[in-house]
Amino acid sequence: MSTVSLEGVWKRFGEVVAVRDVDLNLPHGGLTVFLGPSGCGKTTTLRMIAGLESASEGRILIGERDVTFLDPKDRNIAMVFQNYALYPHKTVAENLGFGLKIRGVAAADIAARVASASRLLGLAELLERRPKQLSGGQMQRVALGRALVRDAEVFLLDEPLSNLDAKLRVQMREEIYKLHRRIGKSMIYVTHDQVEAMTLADRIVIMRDGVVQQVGSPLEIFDRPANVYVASFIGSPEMNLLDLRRAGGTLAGSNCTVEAPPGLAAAPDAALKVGIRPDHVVVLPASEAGSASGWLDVDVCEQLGTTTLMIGGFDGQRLRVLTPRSNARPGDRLAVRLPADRLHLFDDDSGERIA
Amino acid sequence: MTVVPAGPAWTDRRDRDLVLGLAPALVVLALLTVTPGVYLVLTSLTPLNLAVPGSEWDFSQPLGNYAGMFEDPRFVHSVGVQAQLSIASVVLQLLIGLGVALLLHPNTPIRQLARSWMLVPMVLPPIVVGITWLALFTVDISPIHRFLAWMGLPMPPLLTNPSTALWAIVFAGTWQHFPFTMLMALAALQMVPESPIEAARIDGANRWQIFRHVRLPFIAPTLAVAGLFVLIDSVKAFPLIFIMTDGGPGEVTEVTNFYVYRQAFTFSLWGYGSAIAVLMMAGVFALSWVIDRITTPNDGRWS
Amino acid sequence: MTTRRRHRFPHWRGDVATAALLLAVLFPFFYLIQLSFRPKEDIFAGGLLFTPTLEHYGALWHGNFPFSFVNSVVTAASATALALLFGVPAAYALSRASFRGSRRIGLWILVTRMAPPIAFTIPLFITFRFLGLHDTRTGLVIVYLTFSLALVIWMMKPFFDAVPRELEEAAAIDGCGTWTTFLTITLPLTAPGLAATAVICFIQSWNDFFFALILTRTQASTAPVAIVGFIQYAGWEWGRMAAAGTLVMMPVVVFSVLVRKYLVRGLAAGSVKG
Repeated sequence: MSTVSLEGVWKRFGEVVAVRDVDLNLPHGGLTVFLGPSGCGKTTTLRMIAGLESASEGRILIGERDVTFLDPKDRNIAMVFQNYALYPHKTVAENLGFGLKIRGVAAADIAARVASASRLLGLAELLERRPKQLSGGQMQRVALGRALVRDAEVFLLDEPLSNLDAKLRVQMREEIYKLHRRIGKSMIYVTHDQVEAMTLADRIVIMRDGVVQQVGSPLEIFDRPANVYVASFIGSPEMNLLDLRRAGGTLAGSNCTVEAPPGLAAAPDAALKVGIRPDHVVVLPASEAGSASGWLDVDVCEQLGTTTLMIGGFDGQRLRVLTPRSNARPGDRLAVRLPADRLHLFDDDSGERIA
Repeated sequence: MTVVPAGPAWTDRRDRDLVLGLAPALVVLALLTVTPGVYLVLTSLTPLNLAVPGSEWDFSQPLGNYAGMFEDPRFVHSVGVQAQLSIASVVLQLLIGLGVALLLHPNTPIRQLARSWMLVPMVLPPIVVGITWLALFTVDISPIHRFLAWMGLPMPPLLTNPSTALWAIVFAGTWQHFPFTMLMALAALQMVPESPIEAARIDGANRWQIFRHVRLPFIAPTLAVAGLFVLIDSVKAFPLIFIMTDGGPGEVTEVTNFYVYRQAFTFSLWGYGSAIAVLMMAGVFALSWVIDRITTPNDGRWS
Repeated sequence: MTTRRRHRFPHWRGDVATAALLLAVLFPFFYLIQLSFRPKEDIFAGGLLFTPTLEHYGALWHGNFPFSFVNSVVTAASATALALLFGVPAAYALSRASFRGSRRIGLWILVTRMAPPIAFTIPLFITFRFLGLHDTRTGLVIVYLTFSLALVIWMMKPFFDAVPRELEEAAAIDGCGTWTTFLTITLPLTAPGLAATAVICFIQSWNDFFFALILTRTQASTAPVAIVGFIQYAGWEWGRMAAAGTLVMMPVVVFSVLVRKYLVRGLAAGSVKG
């Protein structure tokens, strides 16, 4: 059973298309992350699910109900805003209970639910304070609490951690993860930070310029990116993308020969984008230079402690190689091999994955 | 399977609710501004004279009033007086307002107190300003005149002297209105960022140079807008003139606004008065448009 | 170049100048007040000192002045109340609405604020005669309402603009309708601005001279107009004029000092951001 579905959803602002033909089926109870850079349409999509923006075309369903034209309050959703959006003139307790109060829930009920939510989030001593007396992390938790109290079907979170400093962010990330496990409700989480996405998500939806690039679990997306964009977006350090041509059973550049994976469905002599993650590139000792794919002329050597990142020229193109700690130095010339089973091949024009 | 919608969504319902909240005010405003406005224009096309029955429907010479205006020496004279008053007002109020703002800019207790109390002239009912200065310019009772006489610099009465009457009014008006430009200048000065000022100080600039090259460019737009407001307000000058000189001596202090008042309420020449009023409105409209352009940011917070 | 010396009071010279300037500027103000307490004989002759008397205030009390004072209170208060009632929701709507043309409305409002009163009085005089509204408080309130409404909308809109949209979206998700959100979330957050707007609105109506002069005679004349009455009679009743002037200006001065922060915005009828 899916909780949130989008069918052929478009959003236009005048002439500008913010969201283009999105079809999604998000499973019940999972934590889905909308990931992408600013302006990619992820927040707009979230707001359309919330009902704060209207869809120019398409249908939106929450739990089998068609909510496309419903007010936000009728959609049984709760939302956590990037800037928390706490009511400044109300106490924490009033903030938490406001949604219930408006719906006419009995005062005793409200008090009970506020109490349990504040216990869960560690807000019990803060209930009588006003938002301006709270720290960033505390405000964040009140925002979460406000959503919790409502006991909605779907929780929407719009970049909730981006206003926090790095250390707090890591801490709150953990808390959100645990919270999700605990309450078992569906969550849709918007962020531009891939680390947040990878660590929190059950499923990731990567978007770019209003178009969904790929949907899948974090590891699926990591292991099999659907196109060049996803491949270079996910993974740090960034995946290498080389321009090579098919030549029989190999992929050849001007000065290298890479073994092609078997069963490659590409025209002979087709131009391809070949991807390989920096840590999958094998540096060969001089004795095995014969089986090398090509040569790396090291330009930059970043010693990261446990690992070493080498950046240099390979076949006239740029290559990044991440190895366990080594004492390579700029100016070195190393034999490297690009194993066939670690390659990601993409069509040069469309960027779509071929193998 | 996609549906082609454009059903009413929450945002549309909200817009509808908002329009309902806006409508009553717009209706009232329309009734109270557009109707008189239209009426004014129509009347300006007639030679309406309350003493002459039937003159309100006489549209035979619609532009008669407008043509006659420029041949009416008293009107032309009033425009000259108005120009003098307006220019003097703008210049003096900007200079004095800016000067006082610079004086009050630093944060000491006395100056903070002064910032509040310096506003008094601006908020007084204009008529009260009028009678106060009328008293102060009346030689018999004015302590100022008495003081000057005691010092050996006796000053003749200013309000009854044709060459000084207008300047007495300008003086009183400047006293009344300078806090406005002062406030605007103060607000603008307080928004000048510290870093360019400190950089200039490090570079060795003295106070005047800092003002001229760092502060002034920053506050110039605010001053421009303030000047425009002063200009528009100067066109409305009435209570001071009414109580202090009644347009005289002769017609020396008869600004256009006052002249219209005379035409309409002393001579009952409503058609003519309306025509002049229409021209004044056109001027006000143009200046307001300029102000609107300057003060509204390009992303159109209004739309 | 002068170096900054760290005095205890680095700005004392400016402070002295400020104090002197303040006294000079406020001199006319205090002059009028003391004039109202001067016995009649001392007005033309007297020196610096005099025995204060309440004879002028007493004379006012027994004349027509209290009546016009009440008129002032009633008309200014009514106009302000009505202007707030219509104008505050309108300002909110203009702040939040996404339809075009709200820019043009803004200009219209500014022009209304800036227009010379004479442009309105000619048509209104005739209409009021016709409708029997001449020399009535209702008529005056209607006129004051025009400017007050424009002022309220102009002043309140920036306050509403300053309330973040996200707050209202959160309220919408919590279950509030458009105007419920307005009443429970947005309006309380603009309370200081609302108070200041009300005060400034009242002051503008209270201070009016021109409309009251033209559109009223005896029944509805307001305090500012009554002051002028002391000039028509034989000889100028300076004492009474001063007393009347003092009474008329006192509420205004008190209120203004309280809301001085918002005065610029109100009197400029527009917010200027650098």
